[in-house]
Amino acid sequence: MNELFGQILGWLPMLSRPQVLVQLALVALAVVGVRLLARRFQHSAPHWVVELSGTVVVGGLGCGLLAMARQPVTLALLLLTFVASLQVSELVLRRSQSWLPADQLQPLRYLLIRPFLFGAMVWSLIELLDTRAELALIPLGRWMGADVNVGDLTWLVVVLYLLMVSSGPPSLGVAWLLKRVFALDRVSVRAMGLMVRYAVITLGTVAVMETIGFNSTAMLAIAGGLSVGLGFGIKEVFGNFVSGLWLLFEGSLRPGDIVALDGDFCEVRRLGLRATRLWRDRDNAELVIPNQTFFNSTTVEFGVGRTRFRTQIAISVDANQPVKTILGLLEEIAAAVPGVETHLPPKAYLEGVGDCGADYVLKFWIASPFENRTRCSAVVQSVVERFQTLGIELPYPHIVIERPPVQPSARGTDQPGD
Amino acid sequence: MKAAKAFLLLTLPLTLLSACGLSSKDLSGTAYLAISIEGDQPLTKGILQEEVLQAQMIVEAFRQLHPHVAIETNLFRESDFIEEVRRRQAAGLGPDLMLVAGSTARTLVESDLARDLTIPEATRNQMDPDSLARLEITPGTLAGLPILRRPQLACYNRSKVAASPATTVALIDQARQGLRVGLAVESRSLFWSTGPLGADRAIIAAAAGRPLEAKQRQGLQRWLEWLSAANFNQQVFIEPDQEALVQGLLERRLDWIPCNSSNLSRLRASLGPALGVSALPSGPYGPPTPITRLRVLAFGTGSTARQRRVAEALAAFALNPWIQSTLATDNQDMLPTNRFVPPSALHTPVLKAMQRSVEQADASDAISKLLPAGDPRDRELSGLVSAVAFGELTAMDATEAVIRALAPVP
Repeated sequence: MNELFGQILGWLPMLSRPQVLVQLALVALAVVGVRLLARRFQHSAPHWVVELSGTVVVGGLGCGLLAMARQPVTLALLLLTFVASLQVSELVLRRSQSWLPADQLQPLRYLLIRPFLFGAMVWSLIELLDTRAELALIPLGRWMGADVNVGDLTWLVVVLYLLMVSSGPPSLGVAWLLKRVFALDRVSVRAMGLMVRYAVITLGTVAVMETIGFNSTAMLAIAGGLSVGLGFGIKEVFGNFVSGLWLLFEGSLRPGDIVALDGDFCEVRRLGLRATRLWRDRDNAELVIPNQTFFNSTTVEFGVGRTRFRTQIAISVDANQPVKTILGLLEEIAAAVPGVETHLPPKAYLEGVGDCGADYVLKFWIASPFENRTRCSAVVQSVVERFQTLGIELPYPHIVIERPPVQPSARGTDQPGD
Repeated sequence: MKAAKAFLLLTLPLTLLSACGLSSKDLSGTAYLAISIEGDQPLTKGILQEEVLQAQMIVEAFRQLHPHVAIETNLFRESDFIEEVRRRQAAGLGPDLMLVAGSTARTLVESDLARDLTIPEATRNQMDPDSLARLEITPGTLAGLPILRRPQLACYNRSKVAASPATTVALIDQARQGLRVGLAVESRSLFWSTGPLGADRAIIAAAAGRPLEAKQRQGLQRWLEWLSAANFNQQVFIEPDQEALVQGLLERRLDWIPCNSSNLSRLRASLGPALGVSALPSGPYGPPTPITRLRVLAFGTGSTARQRRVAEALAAFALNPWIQSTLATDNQDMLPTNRFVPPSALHTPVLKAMQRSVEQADASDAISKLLPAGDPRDRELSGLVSAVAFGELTAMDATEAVIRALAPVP
């Protein structure tokens, strides 16, 4: 490791050459000057457009002048190309906001574009300052029975990064194919894609480590130790992770499904590996629920495309009214309410006779649990209005206080304390 | 305000960095030394150590005199060297010193990537005249300072063969009796065999663009036939490059190979006293024509005054008879270029074999000039030699192809 740091420190005196300092000053001038310019004109033109144009103009002029003076320019060109590429990528990303989902923009920016540009710049810079092949041979130490050098470590990191960044879409493709071939209807493509992706990443990492010469016994021992550590240390996280994978694989919960949580209906927005994101209609809140919750408690769930919900209202009617007439009336009223499913006719039942009258229950189907409150209210309203029109009394609980009649006393007056 | 701070933060360390050494009057600072390596094989730790070894020894001794000096080394392939230096020079990051083959030093000066040298007569007198002749650009100016010579030799495993065969005929005879002989199709590794078979003049004439006499043509065909016949022998192994030969001897797959003196430290570390070293075999048509690699220090053009001073001091130090004699006797893998190294320092059998090889290298000096390392014609010649050795091309057909391939590009 010391050798590597020594080598990197050895690059610094190279930067003290006047021709290098001039190039670095040009790049600094272009970056800082253009930023100030962009700030001044931020109201008249988009920030990134000004910065990009400024970098191209200032950098181009500076490099042109240096070239005319027969001075080296490659370093300045390399750094300015990096800055300009960063600005172009920002410009493209901003334009993509209209059609690319917001949650995909950030990973694209921070996982793909910026690391790629930064890596390319460092790669080119190293090639100017040193020799990559020579640098790769610098030893870092003996790990898991293998003599590891800078080249091996770079190879491992690059392969891991590439596998993590690029294995997503191909894994989903393989998963889709597997699902089609084996007719796995209930298993979600995303779950299988994730499984395939993790398998690819694991196999790729193991293959690279094998190529480097890591001892497989040592790797197994570390994997075993890591499993025990995971089991004890981050049990909950690991439990949620496995639950998430299982939920995805089983397909019992998918985005768009509706679940009942503490009496409220919520829509599944995103199924993550640690937690599931739900949207609650009542207050427009987003809830992050650990995946284990769905394993440890009974969950009422309505899948996508099968959200039809059977709901009911209870109503008391004057007990003197004929039951058959009331049952017919209730079913007719409910069927006429918009939003109540008509091809599955509403059904009314007499539950019994209570203190206030005859207790009826009216059951009917609606399209989604989210409509429960509004549809129930609409049906009750229709029933009340129709019964009032027909003169049918809807008894309500009330208390009648009857005072006992006053008995006149023999002496004509009541004596307190008697 | 923030932007101004960022500007200051970026420029301040560089300003300090450029100013920090100015107060010191003693020789100090960092100079960058680029070293060229021959061949196209992937760089390994062994090759790296072999190529850097002598330079490192010079630098270490130099640092004992000037402890505030640091030398950073970079390795490039000889074939890519000019382009690599050009690319770095265009960024202002070119090397201050370059340890390269003589032909590369000349090209560097011709391409304005290195400055030519006018050295005092006294220093000039110290240098080996052959080496000077190879580096002279105009009378009085040199492409670089010749530092060391690495002759081509025969390396063999003494536990398999007591002494190296003295002739090419004996070499093939011993191969028939079980000696595992390695030859590389790389022309620079194989050129030694042209002399014993009378093909050296033909190759020189073809590379110079001169018409070949019938006798020279016959010599060239004879050499190609010899190569083709050699490969029919089960114990002669044709390898793609010099590094494969060295690996073969290191792994005891081969018993005899032509080697360069720079390979000796690696071979010695592995074979120990079993390593035998001698001059290459001669043949019915003359002595061998081994190629001596002349290593030259050329000076970059983008150095600061301080880096220039360090580079010049290091080059002068490397020419010092004491350091040259120490390098030659301690490592026994190079010959000095300073004539004032006492002959007593070069008395070992290995150094004597190297001296013999250098004396035999008259013809190969010409080929080194006409066909410098990394020349595309060199690669084409290797391809043709390979085709003949593996029977894809007859020696007769290959003769014309070799002449055409070697013809200089107008």
